[in-house]
Amino acid sequence: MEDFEFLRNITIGQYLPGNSLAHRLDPRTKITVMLLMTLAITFNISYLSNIILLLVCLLFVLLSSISLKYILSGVKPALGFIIVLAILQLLFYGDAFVPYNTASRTIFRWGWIHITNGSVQLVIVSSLRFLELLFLTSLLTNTTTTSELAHGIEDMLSPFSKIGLPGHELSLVVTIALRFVPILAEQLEIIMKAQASRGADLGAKGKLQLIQTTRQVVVLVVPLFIDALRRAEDLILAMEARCYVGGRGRTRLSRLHLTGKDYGAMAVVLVFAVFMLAYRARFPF
Amino acid sequence: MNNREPIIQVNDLHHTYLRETPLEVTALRGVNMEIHAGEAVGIIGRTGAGKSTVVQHFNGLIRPRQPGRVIVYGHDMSDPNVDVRAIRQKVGLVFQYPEQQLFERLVGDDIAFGPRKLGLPFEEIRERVREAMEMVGLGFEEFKDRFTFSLSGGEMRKAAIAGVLALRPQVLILDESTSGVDPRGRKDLLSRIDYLHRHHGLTVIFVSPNMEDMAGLVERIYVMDGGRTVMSGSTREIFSQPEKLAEYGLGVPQVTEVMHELKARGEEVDTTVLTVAEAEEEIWKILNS
Amino acid sequence: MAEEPIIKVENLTFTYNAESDNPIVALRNVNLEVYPGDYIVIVGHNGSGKSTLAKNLNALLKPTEGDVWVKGMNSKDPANTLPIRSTVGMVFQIPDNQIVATVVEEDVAFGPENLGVPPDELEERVTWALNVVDMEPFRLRAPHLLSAGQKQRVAIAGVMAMKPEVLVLDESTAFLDPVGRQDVLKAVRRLNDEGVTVIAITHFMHEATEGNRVLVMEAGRIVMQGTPRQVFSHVEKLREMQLDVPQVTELSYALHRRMPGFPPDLITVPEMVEEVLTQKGKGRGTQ
Repeated sequence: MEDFEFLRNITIGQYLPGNSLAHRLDPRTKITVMLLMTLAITFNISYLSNIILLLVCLLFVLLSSISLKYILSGVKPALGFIIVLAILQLLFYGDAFVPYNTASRTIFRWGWIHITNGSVQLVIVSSLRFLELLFLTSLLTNTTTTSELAHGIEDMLSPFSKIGLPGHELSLVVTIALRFVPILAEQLEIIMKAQASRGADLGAKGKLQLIQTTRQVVVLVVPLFIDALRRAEDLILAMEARCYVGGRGRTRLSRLHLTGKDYGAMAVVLVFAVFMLAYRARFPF
Repeated sequence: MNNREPIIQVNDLHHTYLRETPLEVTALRGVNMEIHAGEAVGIIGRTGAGKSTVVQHFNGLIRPRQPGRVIVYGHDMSDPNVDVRAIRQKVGLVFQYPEQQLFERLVGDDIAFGPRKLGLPFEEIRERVREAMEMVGLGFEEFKDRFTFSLSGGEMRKAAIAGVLALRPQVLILDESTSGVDPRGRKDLLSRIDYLHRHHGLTVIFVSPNMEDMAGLVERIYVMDGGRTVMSGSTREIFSQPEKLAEYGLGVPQVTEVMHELKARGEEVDTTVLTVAEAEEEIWKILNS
Repeated sequence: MAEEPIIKVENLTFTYNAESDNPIVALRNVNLEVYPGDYIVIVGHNGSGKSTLAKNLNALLKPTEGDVWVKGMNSKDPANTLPIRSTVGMVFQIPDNQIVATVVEEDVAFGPENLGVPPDELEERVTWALNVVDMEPFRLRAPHLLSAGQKQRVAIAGVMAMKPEVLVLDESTAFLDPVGRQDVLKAVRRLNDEGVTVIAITHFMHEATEGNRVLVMEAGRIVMQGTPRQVFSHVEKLREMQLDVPQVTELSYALHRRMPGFPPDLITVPEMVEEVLTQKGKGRGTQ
């Protein structure tokens, strides 16, 4: 019956204050670590490599003092969808996926359904990768404030300003987007309540229905869109009134500093990622 | 005051948002209230007192959790089988900045949304829209085919309120619906609601942090603070306690303040004065005794 | 001492959509002089042109006809836009829609950052600005967790961090609850006491008593001007215009009609109380 509150329960992206090793690392370090690990994950499709990667990601989570339960709870809304997708892949992707290091072998076949060791591997490895990426994303967003993230991105992109890449502007776009996520989420909740109050089919049956008709979505999307546009108009005026003219010539209040811990962390992860990439075809299974 | 059964009854109501998450917030800590048919009741309190949370129970947007109970028109709102749609037709809720709910291209269509959802025949929908528009002061012929988003802010607000009135509710809850409106617009809106209350028997529940809104409109007031009802009584009774109200972040009309000051300085005056006219009489009396 | 006005508005006319088939004349031949240290309150209904006038003062809008001079700089000259905007700061109606950053102190720094203020001075300015509005303890908070009044004060701090000489408040209390409004008015009062020129646009008539000058606008023109007392004493005219008068003034006017010895233009509660007691012969005079 708390249908309308589920929008506030988005755990991904929610910063949780703390003093762990992960919290104390520079955002650029964490972004680099995430990029390196994502690279390693992308190119590793064997069981063993993914088990190793998963354990390493779990290690990161431990170093961040964020509760595992909390991270996994963020998956709940999507769980149904994920399971359905996994089952579909298992049943119908037999031909599409070539298993690691062995030949494709049919386990079961009937009509359209074709389960092979390939599709089994696909499902298992996909699940492992999903968890790995979930933990990595949490590591980044739960331990880093949005402003740190924005500054990290801005600093990492600043060398490219020489070739015309607008680092500050992009970082500001990210900041403003993140700033307005909770505002728009709250706005959506209000709109849903207002429409439900005048008879819209929302939350009437005690559970938010996942499949909405176009009509019902219009009732929510149009007002929300208009609201977002209005806010954008107001924000532009406010920014102009405060002399915003783009990134050129700007200074910044907060400075980021890399310490020994940062270099150490990046070095360790770099070695690990290189190893995983180099050995990606040489794992036994 | 009437002796009939209350149409809305609230007992020991508690509510916590986002329970069992790190962002948990307790909004209500044992609220008790009663609303009778045909009354005009005010719920005042500063921001965060829990007023909106309470009234959202009256139309089933929020359901009560043990031990609290909310009974609306005899229905126990903790029962998952309550026909919420039927309740929402009887108990209309207008939110703060109601114009934010507008979504149809044409004004008439948006106001017709509620009646359409009730499955009413075309002619009746049209009649209801006309009626609702007249109630808020938007001429039917003039506005029904206008583009919704080409209206002024005040007109959009009226259209949104008409959208709720088109359901022909028996109870109208206005949750800070005069926020951001200029004095002329506010007077207009309040006098129309007052008219509906007096002449159509509409039960009105008026939620606001502004005392001035209440004075002419409501007979009884609940004052809320920190998730509880901290004061309750007739409008005059409540207004006669400015010190207490100040504690709860609320003020009284200037004239009431004047009376209190005079009394504090030893004058025999009626401190339950609410309007300029009443104050005028009181002061005339003491200057000519 | 003849002071130079810090803002001078000369025959200002502003038309929205001037080139289209649907032009809307929002300001008609407005003239105004604002002196350093003034606290001007502009009142009027929605559509009277008050917001349009405000936006012409910091070059967000440029005059269709006439001129606006800020410290001698003409707002029509693009080269003057930034200097004008850092001299005349503006706070808007909706608190949320002015805050750009996800941390309070970073939002307050946004203005001076745009001006290229060096980092150590940035720190100082942010601290000063937050203190002036009583929000320093909140400097590391996320803005969306603040109340509307607190957010609005952060917005004010963000503007003040640019050290403008003039602060324009465009209906900045419209969407606040009474407590929030009090806090904002207090902060603005403090700024004016420290020498900041304030131009407050509002539809709350009782806020007009804060200023040393009140302007009443209607249909794009300034129709009344004077001290709060002078303006409010025209109770009939204001009533005709459907503008509110503080209850005390209405009361004062009504009593004056019945007893000519009673002043018609009282504007605050203490004044009214004192007057009644004095008339009754129990005034504080000899205490």
